[in-house]
Amino acid sequence: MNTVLRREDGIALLVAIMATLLLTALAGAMVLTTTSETIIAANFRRAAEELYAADAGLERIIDELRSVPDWNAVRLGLVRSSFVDGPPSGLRTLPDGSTIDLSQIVNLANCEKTVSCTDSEMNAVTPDRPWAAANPHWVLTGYTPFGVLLTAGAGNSTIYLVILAAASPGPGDPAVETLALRAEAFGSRGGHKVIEAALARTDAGVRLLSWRTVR
Amino acid sequence: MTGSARGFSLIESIVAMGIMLTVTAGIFGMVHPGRRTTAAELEVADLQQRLRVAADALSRDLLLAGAGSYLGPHDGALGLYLPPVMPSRQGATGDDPPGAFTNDRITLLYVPATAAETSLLADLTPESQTLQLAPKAGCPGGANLCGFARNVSALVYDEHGNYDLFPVATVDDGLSQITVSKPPDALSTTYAAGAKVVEVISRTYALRTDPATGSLQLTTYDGTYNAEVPVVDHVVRLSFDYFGEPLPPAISRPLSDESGPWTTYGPKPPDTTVKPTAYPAGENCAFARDADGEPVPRLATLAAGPGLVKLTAAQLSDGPWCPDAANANRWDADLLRIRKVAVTLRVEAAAPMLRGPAGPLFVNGGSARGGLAWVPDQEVRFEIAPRNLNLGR
Repeated sequence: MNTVLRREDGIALLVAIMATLLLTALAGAMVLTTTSETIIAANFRRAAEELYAADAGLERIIDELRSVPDWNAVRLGLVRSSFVDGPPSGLRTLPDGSTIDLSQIVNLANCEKTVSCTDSEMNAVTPDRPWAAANPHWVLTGYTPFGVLLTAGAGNSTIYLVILAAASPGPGDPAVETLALRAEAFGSRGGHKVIEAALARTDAGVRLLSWRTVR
Repeated sequence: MTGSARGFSLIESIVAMGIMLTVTAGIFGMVHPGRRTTAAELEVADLQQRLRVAADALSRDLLLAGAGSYLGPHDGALGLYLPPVMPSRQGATGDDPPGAFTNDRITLLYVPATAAETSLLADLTPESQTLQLAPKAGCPGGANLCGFARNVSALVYDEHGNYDLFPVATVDDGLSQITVSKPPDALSTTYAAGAKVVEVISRTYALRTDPATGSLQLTTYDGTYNAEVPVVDHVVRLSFDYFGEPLPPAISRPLSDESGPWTTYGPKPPDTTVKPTAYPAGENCAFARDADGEPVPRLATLAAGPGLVKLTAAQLSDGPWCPDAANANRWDADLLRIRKVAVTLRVEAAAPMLRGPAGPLFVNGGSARGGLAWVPDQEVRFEIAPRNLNLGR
């Protein structure tokens, strides 16, 4: 035992281990910072992409709505966009493997619940839906992977687009036909952007009354 | 003394110390710059995050600027009635003078998703701070003024270019009245019954010196009596450039039509017999009348093409004035041209020990010596086309 304590053969190993630990800690901190920085930057970029995808989807639907003679049929869900990828309910799988449920999206927009909403729930006043009885009762109008809307060669997209329509919270002039639209873009890693717009039909075509980002 | 513990000779000690010193010097030679780089990298990450937060806040509000109401007779984007993007600080306190142009302050107005939209039931005289409002239909529980609440900012505007922003003090739902905590800015303006009253969000972005650190920070101000709120620290540069419609406003549908918008942008001219402002009867800041009484634009054509042109400080602060040149709350009609805003934003490292000498890399010099510990200022420039100012494009 005494001889072991007095021998100094291990000191180099000890110094080397301590030096390695110190450098590892520094390198670890550095790696952590740079990877989280990369992830933050990627999330930021994706959020911007989702916002622009929702905006682009909105524009495409507005373009289609010009030729729809009766917007009542749209807000009742009787007429849908040409951008649909199956029945208007059920699960859709995003490229990153996560799933979204179309009925749930409609219910969340209507009453912030995942199950079906009653009329009184849809007419409840909340900060996002302050119009009470005039609250929009959203129905599905378009739902498609965003890539379908892109022209060939414009690149790939992992975003899924859902467009909802409803009566606008307040038609000022009953003679003017109005419609509210809600574009939701779902990206990978839970990314989600929502834009709401109100539009009116004029002699010249369609006029946007307002455009607001919701989240 | 046993043989195994006879001690070291001088030579042995010197050699051992030499080896030891070399090894530890090598280790410290690696650790020391590593530590400096780590500190610098952490600061770079923080700096980039501050840039992102500032860019995100500014772009969100810029995207929304001009969003208007969609109820009642004055629906549509705010840009049809008043300037939703102003190159100055506007609000209840610390207002820039009317018509001022600054390139480092911006005020943005937009109507949020709100039920608080109605109109004046009785004229609002200049000295009055009580607004008699038209009861709203469809409020839950038979209320008259759903949506209006204390501390909400109420925007009153008419079709002649008058507008005022009032912090709401009290709401009397039974009488359908709200009182506001300041009189109108323009002491000569009477808002006629029927003028639009709507909840509005006002955001003024500007730089101010942080009293705690003496450095500049980006702040936002809500147009009321509240103090400005810091958004991001250590911002050394903020400037805005404006790009706008080169063509003057035009009449887009007959003025006799019931509902608008009647113009491509800006307030529609009043009837030829009506003289609501200091402009001649039938005219306003955006439109004059020709010899036949037909409306002609008062604004100049800045370029022939449909593309946007850069708007200069002079163009945005030399008139023609809305509602008229004598109004205390006047604004340059060219502000209605704005379709795109370019933002330049520059942030610096918070710690002076990470900043080098003042120069191209650093606006404010610091105490860092040697490039390893330098975290240069970062500057971004981005352009936002506010959607609600481009609805017709």
